[in-house]
Amino acid sequence: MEEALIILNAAVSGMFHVFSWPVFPMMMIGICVGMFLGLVPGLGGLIGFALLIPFALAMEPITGVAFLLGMSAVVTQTDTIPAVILGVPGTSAAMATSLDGYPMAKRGEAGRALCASYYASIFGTIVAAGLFILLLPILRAVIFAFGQPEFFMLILLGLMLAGSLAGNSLARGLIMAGFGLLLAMVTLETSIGAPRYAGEIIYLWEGIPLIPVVLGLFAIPEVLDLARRGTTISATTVDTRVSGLWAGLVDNLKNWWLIIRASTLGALAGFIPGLGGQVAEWLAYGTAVASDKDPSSYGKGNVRGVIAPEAGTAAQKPGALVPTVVFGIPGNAGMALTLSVFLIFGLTPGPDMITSKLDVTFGMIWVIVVANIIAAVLALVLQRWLILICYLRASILVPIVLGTMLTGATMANQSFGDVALFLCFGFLGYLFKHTDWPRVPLIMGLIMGGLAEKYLFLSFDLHGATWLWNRPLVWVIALVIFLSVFFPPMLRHYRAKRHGKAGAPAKVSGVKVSGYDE
Amino acid sequence: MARFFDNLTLKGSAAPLAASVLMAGVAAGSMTMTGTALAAEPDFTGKKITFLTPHRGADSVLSLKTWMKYASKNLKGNPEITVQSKFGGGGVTAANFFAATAKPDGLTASMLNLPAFISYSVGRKGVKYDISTMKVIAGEAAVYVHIAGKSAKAQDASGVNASAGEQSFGTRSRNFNVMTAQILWRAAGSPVRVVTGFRGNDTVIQALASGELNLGYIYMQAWMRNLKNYADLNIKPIYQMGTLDAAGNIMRDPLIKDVPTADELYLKLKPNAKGTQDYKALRTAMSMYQIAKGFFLPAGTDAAIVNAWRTAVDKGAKDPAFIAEHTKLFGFPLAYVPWAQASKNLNDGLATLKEPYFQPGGEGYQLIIGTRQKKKK
Amino acid sequence: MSGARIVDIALTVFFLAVGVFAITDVRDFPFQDQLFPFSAAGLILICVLIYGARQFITGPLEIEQETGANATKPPFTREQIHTVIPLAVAILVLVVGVFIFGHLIAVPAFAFGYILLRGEKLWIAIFGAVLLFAFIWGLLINVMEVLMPRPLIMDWLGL
Repeated sequence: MEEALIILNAAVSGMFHVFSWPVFPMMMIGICVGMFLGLVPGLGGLIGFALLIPFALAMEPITGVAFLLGMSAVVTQTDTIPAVILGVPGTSAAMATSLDGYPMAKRGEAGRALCASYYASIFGTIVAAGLFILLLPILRAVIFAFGQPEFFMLILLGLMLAGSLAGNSLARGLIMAGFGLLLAMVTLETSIGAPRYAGEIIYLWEGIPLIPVVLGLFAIPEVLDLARRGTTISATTVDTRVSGLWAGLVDNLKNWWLIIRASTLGALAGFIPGLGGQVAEWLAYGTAVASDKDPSSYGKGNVRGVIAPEAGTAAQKPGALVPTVVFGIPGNAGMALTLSVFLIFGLTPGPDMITSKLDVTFGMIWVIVVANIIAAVLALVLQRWLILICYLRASILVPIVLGTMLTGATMANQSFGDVALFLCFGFLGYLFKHTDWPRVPLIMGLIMGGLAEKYLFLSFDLHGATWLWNRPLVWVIALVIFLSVFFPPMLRHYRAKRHGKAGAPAKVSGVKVSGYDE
Repeated sequence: MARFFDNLTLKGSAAPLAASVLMAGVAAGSMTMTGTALAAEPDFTGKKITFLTPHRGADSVLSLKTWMKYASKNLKGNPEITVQSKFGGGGVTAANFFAATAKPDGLTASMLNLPAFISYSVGRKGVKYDISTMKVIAGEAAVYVHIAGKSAKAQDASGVNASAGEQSFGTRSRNFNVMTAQILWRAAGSPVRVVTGFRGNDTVIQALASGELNLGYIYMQAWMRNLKNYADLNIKPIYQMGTLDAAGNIMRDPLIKDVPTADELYLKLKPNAKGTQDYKALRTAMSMYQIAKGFFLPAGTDAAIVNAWRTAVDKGAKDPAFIAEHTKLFGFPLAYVPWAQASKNLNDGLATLKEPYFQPGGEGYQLIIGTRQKKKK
Repeated sequence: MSGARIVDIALTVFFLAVGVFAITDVRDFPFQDQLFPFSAAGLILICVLIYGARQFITGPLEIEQETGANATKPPFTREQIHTVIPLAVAILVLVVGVFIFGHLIAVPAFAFGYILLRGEKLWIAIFGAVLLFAFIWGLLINVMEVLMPRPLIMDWLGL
């Protein structure tokens, strides 16, 4: 009871920090910068850190921390806007959201999709904060219970969920996933230090960057089709800019259990160094699809396909903050930069952060939560005008979007190689889209392939084969894989059979996510 | 609220390092004004200078930006120096770009990193630059500490012996630190098992703390800043790669003076091994880390321009205001190495790396690049 | 044979080639570096063979009914290709322009030309070009100090 009071006191004290002067106004500036960076495809949190750190260092420590966290917390909230309105995921963390968000925008429900995503972000961070409070007494045990084998199993869960996104044709989905995995194998960091699939092309030595591939695969086909149609993005003339506000909230409340599950997965992915927001998002999206009664509705504008990834990505942020401040082990690249700023401010990570300095840690978590809420409000205000993009003529929108995407794609390595990749994958993306080869498994293979390879061999190198049977958490995750990937389609198949409506198994389990039907 | 601010007070704990680096700089730094001192001083008034870096990390870029702000004050005309990242290919992209595009007019300079030096020395494909013709204007050292996790049998330098048994050593990829660990532990009679594939220092620390990895290494400054935290995680220092003293000798870093250097430990294990290839390789690794970052002007740059730059970066690095600002920003001063010392370390290192031991097929190559050659077709 | 089906077959052949190349290119690597590439390429090859065989045996109709290959009205009919090619050429012009003149010139110039050629008013074209110029020059180059790729024309002119 006394411990609960201490935690509560720290939580309240942390909240006061957030609303103090000049912390709050500087956080607001950070939020505005973060919102802009999220809006422009190709930019993002890492560029934001590079941009803002010099300013942050001139501030008082608490103000500087709030300024930076405010920025990074909301980037993944506004990156939903181009993902939903244009069908172009501006950051890799917005890809899953665009799968269902864009079809919704096309049927004139952009407002609802965006509002649903904002609420999901808010709820996601709140759930993650709640989890932090709940797990506080056993935080250390939780974080260090995970080793390389558990990381591998989590990645495996993500890859398995990719299978459930394979589309109507399982063969095509698997081919695309295999292609993505092969793309992830391009590297210089092999065991013999010789380039694999990269040859003498130095650009490829550090692997194929995700952003030009994603923008090429998704942006060029959309832009080409928009230009070919010569119309506006939205197929309907009904203005849903305001109606979405309420509908989005109702959608979230109806799917509260999905939000809790997606956020828990997101927070867990945040705890683990190196997994990052995109893994969190796909784990959450895959869970939503695999557990749904009607998986075939995903990719066609199912609002749950917007809610789950947004909640997962949002929860990943406070999740990643915890190992950063408590153990000095950053949960992702953004947190690695945040950590260096913490150290500059003299804020040393350590167990103190969950004991004597618990209020500081809470202050940071509340910054993320409050920033998400404020960004949602600001985005709602902006939305009235941003959605007008959906009603802009193609002759104006196409060159501006294309120019921005191409420039954004170049931000990956600031090289012409990025431009070439953008073009190549744009060409492939167009063919894929119009012959229904699902692009999502390709992206998932690319994101998770390298991680899976590294974690598998680290597991064997460090534990031999024993990790397969003597690590209980490995078995727990294996059970989760079974329950979330294999069990639901089996159950559906069984139920369908019972009702005498058994269809083809591939169709039962498959989800059409090539998406963006005309 | 006051309590919160108390928790975030600034720490400036690296004064000894500042002193040592300054001392190291004085001797070689004095050389900058010799030679071409009589040539006309180039005027950079109204000019814009680009300083390339192969790094994209915010702190590395910020450190260079801060330094260049002070270097600019010592160039005639106080030109604006813009630091720009040209990352990729482990440093080779920036080096190639610099060699291909920079004109010898003093308006483009670049930092090149250790992987770029190694790629050049071992004749890696894709290398299109010649470091030997470039003009060194300064260097920056990287001090590493090799550490043990809670599951390691060796918990300090005295544990580096045959009874430690086989231990795992975690790293992202092979490099001089890995080579050092392999040579040292082999000499102790307990060869390490190198485990590559970690995504970075943070994942190595996580694995050390969880007990699934035995050994690793960390940048000394990061170690110092997380001292208390790592102690709580049962992570301990074993030996260090050392730092330069005023005379250019490698010595224990004053910040961790209780931790022996790798070569000290090696000689303790094998007192008569000074002439061996292993010892030479170990010393090369330690020496090359003293110029983990080299700062260059293009080949063919006029001596007066080179001299002006050397003087400017030297004065900038020694400016008390810069040392204070860098220390405030990062918790430690810049590990500055004056051009003469940097040039010596670089030339010696490159010459050693050209020896068969480090060339493809040699043992050194296998230790720093990969465990074995690609199979012959 | 429909355009979509030709593209579908071309993609199948492309993936077959990718799978074969992937296996061939890592033959000389040790097991650790081969496992994932072999697994991924093997997965591709098996699925390509199954998919190709099904196309051959069951014919295109069933495949298309199952996968919906023609369901989205693909733009591979003769008339539709006519509308796609000029757009593809426009994108190619943009990319080539970026290689030669750099982002700062090529991207705004493309926007200006495209908007004007599509019959919009001059001020809209100018606005679009200025917007993109401000984004690249103002934000990326000046504020963020991003080093944009060096255009070929600078080499040609010896700059």
